[in-house]
Amino acid sequence: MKHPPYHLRVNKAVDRFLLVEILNILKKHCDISNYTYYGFGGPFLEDCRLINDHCPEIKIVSIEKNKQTFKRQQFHRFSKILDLRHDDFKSFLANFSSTGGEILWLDYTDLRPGHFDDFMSVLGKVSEKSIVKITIRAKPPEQEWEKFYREYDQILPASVKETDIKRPTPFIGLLQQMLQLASQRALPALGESIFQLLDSSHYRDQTHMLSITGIVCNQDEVEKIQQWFQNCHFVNLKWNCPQKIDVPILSTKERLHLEKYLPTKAKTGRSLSRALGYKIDNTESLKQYEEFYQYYPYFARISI
Amino acid sequence: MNKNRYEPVDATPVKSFFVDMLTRDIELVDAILDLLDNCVDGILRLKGKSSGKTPYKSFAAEIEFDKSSFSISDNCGGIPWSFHDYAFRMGKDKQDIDSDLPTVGVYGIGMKRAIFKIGRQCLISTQNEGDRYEVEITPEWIEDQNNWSLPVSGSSDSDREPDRTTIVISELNENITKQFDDDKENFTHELVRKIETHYAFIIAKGFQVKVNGQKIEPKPTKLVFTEMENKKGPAIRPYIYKTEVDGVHIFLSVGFTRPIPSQEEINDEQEEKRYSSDDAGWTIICNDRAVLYCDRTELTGWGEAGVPRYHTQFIAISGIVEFQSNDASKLPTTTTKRGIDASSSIYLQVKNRMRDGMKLFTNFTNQWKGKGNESQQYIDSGELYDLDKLKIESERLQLNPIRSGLKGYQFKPKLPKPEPEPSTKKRISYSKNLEEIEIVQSYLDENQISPSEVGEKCFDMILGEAQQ
Repeated sequence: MKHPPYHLRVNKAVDRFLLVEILNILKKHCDISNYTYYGFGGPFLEDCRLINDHCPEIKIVSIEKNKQTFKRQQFHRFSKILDLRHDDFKSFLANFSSTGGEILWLDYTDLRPGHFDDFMSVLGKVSEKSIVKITIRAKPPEQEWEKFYREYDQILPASVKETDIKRPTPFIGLLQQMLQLASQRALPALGESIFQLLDSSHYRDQTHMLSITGIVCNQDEVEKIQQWFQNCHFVNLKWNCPQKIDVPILSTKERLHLEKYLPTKAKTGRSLSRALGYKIDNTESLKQYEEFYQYYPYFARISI
Repeated sequence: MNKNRYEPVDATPVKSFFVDMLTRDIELVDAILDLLDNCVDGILRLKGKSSGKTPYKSFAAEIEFDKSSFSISDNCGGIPWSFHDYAFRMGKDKQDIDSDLPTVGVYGIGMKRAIFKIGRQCLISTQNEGDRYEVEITPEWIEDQNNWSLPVSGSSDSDREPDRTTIVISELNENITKQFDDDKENFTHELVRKIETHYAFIIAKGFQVKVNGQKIEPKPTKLVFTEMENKKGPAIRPYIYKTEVDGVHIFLSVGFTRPIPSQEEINDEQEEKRYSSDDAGWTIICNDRAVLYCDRTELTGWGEAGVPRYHTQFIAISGIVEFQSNDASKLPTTTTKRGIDASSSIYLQVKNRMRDGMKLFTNFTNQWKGKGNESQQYIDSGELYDLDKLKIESERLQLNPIRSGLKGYQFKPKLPKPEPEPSTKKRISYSKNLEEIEIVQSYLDENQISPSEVGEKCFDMILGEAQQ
């Protein structure tokens, strides 16, 4: 099975760090030592590795359907606490019952109606103060409007228009609305718990992706939980437009040079552009770098 | 025993029965549709029976809601002062109101139930010809068990606006606020979808509905019909049945809405991908309102008396039954007007015809199973007709009388039958490991094609080499 080079995607790496940031804030307010992280790992278990680095106290489970990828994961297993499961996610979910807090990342690479079903099922199964993240492909579909409408009718917002699926920006907005609708259906406001959105981002390494993260919380605790996260610079509590992650590709030498100018107050990208003395892509990309430089991964070529 | 120790008991109703009990029998969306029903009934009172292609043209209703209020305003004639007893009393006393019109109000409870479902403070402002007045329901009135009269304030400054009604409800009930605010995205989706489908026939006839400023487009059921001129022999046309019984006019049609699904579509659906299942099944219309939409259960004859249970392979089959009567109590609906009274005698008899018609199309689907592509040409040669067009077409068709059971006239289409497999052709099918299929897909540089297309391409490739 061919995998995209997940481990080399800078924007995806930033998205992973945003999850870590959320967990760091959560840690300040509640004990997460009884939490379990569930993810899809991929061949190199990047997300599991990162969670383990930053939250070594929590258990980690990776679910993988493909047998060869599963074997590859076994090869890359980095810790005894990592529980690798060879299972289809739907059957895993059917047998899943909460054992404390959960951090669950539905990290898909494509877009299918079933992903929304999984998202709704997960929301209905995890315990309060669990973090749920879902990533889906946000590339406008090539299929006809009628077919798209038929497939996703159940979770399309009432205001949907044919033009929403034709261009990237409206399509990203539409997908976020679909996820909002799915979350409201899974956890209606008339019930005890709701899904409180924390972060919503879109990025493009090879293809466009939308990634949202939220917390399942008791209605009575919504305000308190909103306060926990309100000072976080990337927070999105009200389902506003997702933020764009589009950090530039920089060499290590460039990054070391820029370090001394960071952080900046204005976050316009102009001061970094001046510091470099030459243009990189556009000013917007350096602005992005100012925003997310703390989460920017270091990739290096090494000989073994 | 002393007989006098028993005094007459108090049987007067308590308000909580209407405010807290009756409101539990209805979903919020259906309660809002009750308010829309009143708008349409108003048009009928204003214009008489709905005739012509767009009898509801230039009439409109606007629904708006947010976390603190709900309103519905229409230009559908207002509430005549002579109707105040019917409109504002809890329940209908006179049965002769609207006796010559195909309205749907029977019990005289819809508007009040909807108001109590939503909130505790309400102002109803209406203008009808010379009458212009306002009726207010307050939380204090709801609490007061002895006061059953509602204050009415008149207004003499009648303007040139068309006769209309506006209902504004505030002090929303807690769970309603949650649906209008926290779950707004989901609730709006539900409300709009229900209006699109249940009001499709009325909107298609000119009525305009807006929800929070968004104009609702109708989603009517349309069936494939091949024009007689195009094809004299077997062709895809719907089954049609018409009759009139006890003042109720019945029109029934069942057929295909789309090509029958391929095996891959069926497999995909089973893997939780959703295709057009929502369009399949029976829609029942009573006096222009859909009371049941795309039902696929025993209620509409699926899975009983020789009709198979609904399955994805029958995704293309849809049916419509229309009941029209000036006496709404003869229609086979439940009190909420959003469901069928399954024990209604008239409905049980019509259901036999629904099953008869349905069997033609389940048989067709079974006969063409695995030959979806071949049957598609027949379906493609037809056009999609809505209910009105089917009714017009039924006038041109040769309908035959039915002499047993519920009398009436029917058109049984002659559907195409598949040719027997020629002996020179054989079907090849096999299953292979998914990873191996992906390897071949990649080798063929065709990542988007289905596994069966991969198999077919491989065969053609080898055949080409073998023939060289």
